[in-house]
Amino acid sequence: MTDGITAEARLERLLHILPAASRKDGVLISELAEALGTSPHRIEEDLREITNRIFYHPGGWPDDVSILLEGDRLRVFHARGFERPVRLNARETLCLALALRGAQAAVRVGSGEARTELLRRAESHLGAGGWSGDETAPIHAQDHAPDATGIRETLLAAARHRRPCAMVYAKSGAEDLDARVVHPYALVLAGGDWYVVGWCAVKEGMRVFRLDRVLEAAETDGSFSVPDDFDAGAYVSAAQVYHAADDVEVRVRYSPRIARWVRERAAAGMVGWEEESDGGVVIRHRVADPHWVVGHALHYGPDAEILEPEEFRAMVREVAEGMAG
Amino acid sequence: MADKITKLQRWLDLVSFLAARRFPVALEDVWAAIPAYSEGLEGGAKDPETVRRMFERDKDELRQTGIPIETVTFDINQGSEQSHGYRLATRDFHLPYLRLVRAAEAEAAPPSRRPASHADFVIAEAEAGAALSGLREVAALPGFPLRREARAAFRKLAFDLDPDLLTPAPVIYAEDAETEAAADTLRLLSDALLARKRVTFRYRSMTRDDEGTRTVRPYGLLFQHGRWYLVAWAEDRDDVRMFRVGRISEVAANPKTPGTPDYQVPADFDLRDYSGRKAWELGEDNGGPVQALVWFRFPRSVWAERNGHGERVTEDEDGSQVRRIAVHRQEPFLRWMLSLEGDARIEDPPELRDAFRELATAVARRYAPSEGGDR
Repeated sequence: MTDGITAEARLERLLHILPAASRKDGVLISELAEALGTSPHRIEEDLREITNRIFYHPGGWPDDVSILLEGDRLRVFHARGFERPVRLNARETLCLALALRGAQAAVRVGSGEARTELLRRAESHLGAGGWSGDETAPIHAQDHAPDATGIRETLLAAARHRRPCAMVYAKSGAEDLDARVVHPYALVLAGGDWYVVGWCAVKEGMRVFRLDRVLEAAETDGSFSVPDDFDAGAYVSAAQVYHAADDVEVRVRYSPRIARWVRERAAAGMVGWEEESDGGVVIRHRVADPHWVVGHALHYGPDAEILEPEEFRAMVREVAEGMAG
Repeated sequence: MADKITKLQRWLDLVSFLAARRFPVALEDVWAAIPAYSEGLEGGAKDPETVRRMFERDKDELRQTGIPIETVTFDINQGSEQSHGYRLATRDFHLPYLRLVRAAEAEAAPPSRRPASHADFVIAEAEAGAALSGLREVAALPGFPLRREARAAFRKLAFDLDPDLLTPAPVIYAEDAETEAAADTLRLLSDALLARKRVTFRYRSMTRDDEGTRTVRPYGLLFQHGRWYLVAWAEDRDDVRMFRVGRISEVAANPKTPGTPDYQVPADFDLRDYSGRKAWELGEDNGGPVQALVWFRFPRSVWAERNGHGERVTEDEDGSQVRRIAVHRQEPFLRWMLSLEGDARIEDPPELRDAFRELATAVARRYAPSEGGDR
């Protein structure tokens, strides 16, 4: 992110490199590169901006600076004025405000008051700007599922500490609640919804759970390990999360009235579609959960129609007839 | 003489020179000490006015990175004259040491009640953990326009902390093509928003299916349902409107009077009023919201409760509930009801209940065996 070669980008990096290397044991160049999101080569270039002047500078500060590079370890002495990182600027403070407001935050500081108080203190001692008043936040990330009971935090802590979680789950279309014990491998935010991907000890298989359907969660005793070949990315496709092990292809037709929205969505999800002569569109969805596509089609009312397979059509028909009373 | 002194070198010289001095330094002394300024003066290549402008620009740019060079006025000749000088106090721009206190210690003496010090910032372990994981999440939000700043803030706060506190949580943010493509637009919009500059852009309106040029005053940026929205005062509508950032192109901020805001955000504007609603849910059908009573089958009732869909009115022994929901716009509401696959039923008002049945009938007809066989 700070990989540029403008003066601003280099200064931003040096404001981290110089204080980090001024500490007693210095710092590893590889660590710096990781923290700054740049290459070791770029960091060496940054340092050269300082050293290549020592031979002609008429008595300015670079003369006093010593830079020692032993293998990967960098040490800097007498970097006058650069011994500490600089305080947060107004935009960085805004980011801290957003983080503490816990819009998407995984771990939250207890009460709203405690958060505001911490932000107020941080603003006056660490940063700049006046973001601690709630109403002044110009950027807001909405928390999709209200989570007053802290279910996401519980699952996240369990994933971090590798502790199995007992969950109560409302599976779509189910007649009753489901009790599960899950090893949460990862949490995923996709298309505005949160999901848990993990091993279900009850079903003895990998499962994906939508977080808004997790009604209770509690850590249990014991621990688990995540298999080496686990790849959470394999569960994300076209900004949707699902388990692709046993999916079916379902063709859905959308009316000309709503086709432009559908095309836009499909393009964003990198999904192909077929144009119909009347201006409508048809999309082939890969579907693991029949309830997903039934709910999806119903959501568009008569403007969407599942074309095949027939058993999915029958499901919609039955549900719609029931609702029509 | 070696190569030209770079801008970065000039900045480093200036910061180091001022940071080493406790007292304000007169402009002439700053010029004399910073080679990039003095060489220009002596060599005659730059006139004093050019140097002054260069210095002023440097001062502004450094301030934006968090290095505030102050202009101070001080007395000379026993107060008979005044002079201007510049000062950079390290205590104003160096980050205080972050000192972690454990939970028990924090409870005995909350950090907020401790005397403030310029050298130390006392923070409870839970607070630091929340700040760092929150910053990591914010930076990872798809398309987040201040990602670079969020990462910088993370680096700064993490500078003094134990790396064990910083283990990343196993969280993945799925990027989608629209948000990825909107990254540059978002950055331009957030720059304009923070500087309060009017912007003009092309907007593809989906409801009217056309594209036009809009001029707006940005009030806020909102991330919800996996998408970014701009909430802004639309000058042609004389009202606040929501724009989906993925449908915005060719953004241009007012280039006149940079550094001076074009407008104020009204004091009673609260971005959160726009959160939780989709663009098409903004505004209302004529006559304001309708209070609907909806019956939810168990366990969907528990789901509705957990996710804040309306308020519970009654609960039956079988776990089903009747909930009251404020309906702003009938059509999207009915379609949402349909998508619940029969787990929800509208009880009241009768007009809404009938409209729902009618819609369900239209769907059922579409799937009727005799008519559905045309494909």
